[in-house]
Amino acid sequence: MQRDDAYNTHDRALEFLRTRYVADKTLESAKDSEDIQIAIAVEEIGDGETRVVLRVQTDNEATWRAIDEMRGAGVVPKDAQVEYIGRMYGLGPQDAVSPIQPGVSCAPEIGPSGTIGCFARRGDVPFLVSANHVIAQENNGVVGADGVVQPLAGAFGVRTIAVLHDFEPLSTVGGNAMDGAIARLTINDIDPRLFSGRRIATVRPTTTLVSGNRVFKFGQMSGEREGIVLSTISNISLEMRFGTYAFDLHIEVSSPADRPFSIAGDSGALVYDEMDRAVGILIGGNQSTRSYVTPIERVLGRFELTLM
Amino acid sequence: MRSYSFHLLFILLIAMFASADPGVDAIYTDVHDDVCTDMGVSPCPRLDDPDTRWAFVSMWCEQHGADARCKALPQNGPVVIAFSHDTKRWRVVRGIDHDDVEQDANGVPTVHAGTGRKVVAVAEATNPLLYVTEAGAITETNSPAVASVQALFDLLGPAITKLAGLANDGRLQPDEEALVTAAEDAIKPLQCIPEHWSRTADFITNVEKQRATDYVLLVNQAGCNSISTATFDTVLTNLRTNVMPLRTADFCSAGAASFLELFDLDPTKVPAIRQKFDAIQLNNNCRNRLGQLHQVTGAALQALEAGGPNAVRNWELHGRGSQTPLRTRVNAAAKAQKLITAADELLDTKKDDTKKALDQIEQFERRLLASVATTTVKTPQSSITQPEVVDFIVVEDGIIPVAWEKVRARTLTVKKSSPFSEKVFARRPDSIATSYSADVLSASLIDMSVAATFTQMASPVYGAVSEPAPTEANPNATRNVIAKVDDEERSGMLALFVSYPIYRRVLGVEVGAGTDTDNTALYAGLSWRLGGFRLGFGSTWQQVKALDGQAVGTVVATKEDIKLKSELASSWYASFSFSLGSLSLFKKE
Repeated sequence: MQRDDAYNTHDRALEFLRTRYVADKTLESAKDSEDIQIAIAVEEIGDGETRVVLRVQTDNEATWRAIDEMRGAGVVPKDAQVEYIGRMYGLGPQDAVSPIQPGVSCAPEIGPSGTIGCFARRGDVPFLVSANHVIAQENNGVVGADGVVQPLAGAFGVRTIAVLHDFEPLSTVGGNAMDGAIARLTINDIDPRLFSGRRIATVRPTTTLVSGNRVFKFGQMSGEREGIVLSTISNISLEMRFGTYAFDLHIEVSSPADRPFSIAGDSGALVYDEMDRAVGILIGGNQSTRSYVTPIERVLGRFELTLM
Repeated sequence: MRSYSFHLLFILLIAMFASADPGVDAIYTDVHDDVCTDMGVSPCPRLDDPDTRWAFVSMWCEQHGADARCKALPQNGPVVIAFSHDTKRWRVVRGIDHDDVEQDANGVPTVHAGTGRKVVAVAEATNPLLYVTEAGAITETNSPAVASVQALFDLLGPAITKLAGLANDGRLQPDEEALVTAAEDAIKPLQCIPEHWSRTADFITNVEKQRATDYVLLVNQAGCNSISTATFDTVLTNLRTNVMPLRTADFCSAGAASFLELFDLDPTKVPAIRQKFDAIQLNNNCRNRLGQLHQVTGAALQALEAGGPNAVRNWELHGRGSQTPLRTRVNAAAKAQKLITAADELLDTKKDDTKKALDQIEQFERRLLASVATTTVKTPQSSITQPEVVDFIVVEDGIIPVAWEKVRARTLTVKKSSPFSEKVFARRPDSIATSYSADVLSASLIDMSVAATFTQMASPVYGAVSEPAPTEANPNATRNVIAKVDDEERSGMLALFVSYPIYRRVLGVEVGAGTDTDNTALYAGLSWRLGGFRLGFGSTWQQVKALDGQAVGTVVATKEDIKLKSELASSWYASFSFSLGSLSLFKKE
């Protein structure tokens, strides 16, 4: 089949499929009908020859019936190759992923998403570490009952991956020492490497950090970003969803306004140094030039954890 | 003991040194110009005339007598006299003896100095930031409508960017904040103007009240370094450019408001919530901004519809937690609209007032820097403190060069003149008028007066008296002989005296002549001045009558046969007079 013919066939088949699918879905009686997910592709097979192929993602009766209808109507060649490829997933840290890795999205059962900072262990029990305001919703989470989902409620492929286990309460009076919470993992498909592939298994004491040190973080929204330590003993007030909280002795990180160290959705992400040593948990910022970090040793100490 | 005896001999020498000493420039540079240099202000507002610089330094040195620089300051520069704005009195600051200034009943001084010397006037105990000294008419500029400009900015409220937790909760995203921030940054230099205008008025008031205060130049105020009259149009162009994107920006405030209304609904009224939720329309941009919130809310609503154990609690928690992020969107849209409104006004109706206020701030800062004298080392970011502002004004256009043949006078008006005056507390009168004059010292020392004189001197009066001259023939015969029949008293005569002081202006020598041309009278003695009056004592030589070749007892036929001659007789005298020059002293206005 010539390329132009193949492309025309592809367009016709896609229009047929979408028209049919949308029509089915808009019928009141068809609201609970099975999903039909068929991908139509044009393959180059050499010497200018092409062919139209069908990739099947949903293995159900409706799908196979749709393929028959497309062949019967002549919108695809009767001999068009059909291949079952199954469900496909987005591969970004904001998507549902497997295995679960630090740096990807997580959220309370109902609530906005943040980032999984790291995995840590108390004895043999594995936990995920993030910010209180992400997985414990600023003290509103119920320990032992509220789940932590990935990527977030309502998303495609969402699943519960952990149960809230503990959090350091945030107070609107006085300075808080940290914004941290942990959830006990309830799945087995975890990979302690960051989503970027880095392995952060050791801790850098905050006392060894000095102004000017380069640090990095991997957040579900902005990916890996670099920043410069401005101060290791900064106090700061952060406006969150349920209140405004002051924090004492936090690490202040600067970054260029056009490439911020952190943006909304990055809370909970692990901050690390050039030698892949954990520095802290990202808790807030102004989405441009300033970010604030709870020292990791304070969080691990509070929850009696060891990095995985 | 002060003597004027050699005064005339030194007139020429003094005239040679009449201009300011070159060392004065060094002091002026130290205490004034260096402030500009340290603070990076150029050109430096300064007194260009060497005589006014001399007056400035003289005033400063008077208040800083311990400063080593001032101890070397010579006396032979221009005469500096000062008019106190507080007490309304004149005084000598430098260059002449206090006695060389005479003041009339109104306190108006006349400076007596050598020919060619200059007299520089200073207004002291005043506030150079609020008052001016001028001989002529004063032009006072009205205040611009700063209050209305300030009110415009007051509407804007605080900057929108906040430090926040970074859960992905639908709050403003960096690109949205950047739009608002860019417009805020563009408007901020203009916001500096009314804010700084008010600060300036406060500073002037504090200087007037002599309260501790300091002033930071506009260029050193945070966020204000880009605004000046030179850059004003550029700043407006920048504002226009940066506000433009706000006009088409979509902060999804309508969608955010819909969610807020949704969360206000009773969680038990699930169908109503569903209906409201399904009615929420998000365009492509807002699906990106609020998509996750929409997604989570949809999941929460499904759970609510399914009636799960934690559904209501999760719904309420989600709604409560979404309030702040959603309100930031609603607020951002409102802020954007305010910025647009403010920008439109600044670019149109408020433009002239804003620029006028800026111009007045710059003029004030030049005036302030011209009035600063300090030895404190400054930096470009330094502030100027209240004690560093001098409390005097050198009258730049008020120099009087002393002339030999004339008495020169000037009027001086110290008048409130500041565009900030309506906002400023002023503890001195709005306007005070006075005057001052100068003439030649040697001429001024010669004092003329009309005196009443007292003396024991008298001029004899001769006559022919009859006396018995019996003869044998006529025992009753008489004859006429010359006899002194009276004394013509000279006390009470008026005389014109000229006096010249030999000790200060109190003790002097005087010579005089009688005003009666028929009886020559000369006087020479010492005089003692008491204010406008003068007492004299000395010797007098007066023309008196004497017999010419005859003697008392000489027989004459008749009185007409008596031959008289005039001769000079001497005696002591005392005189009492008032100065002709002091007549004006009694004309108090």
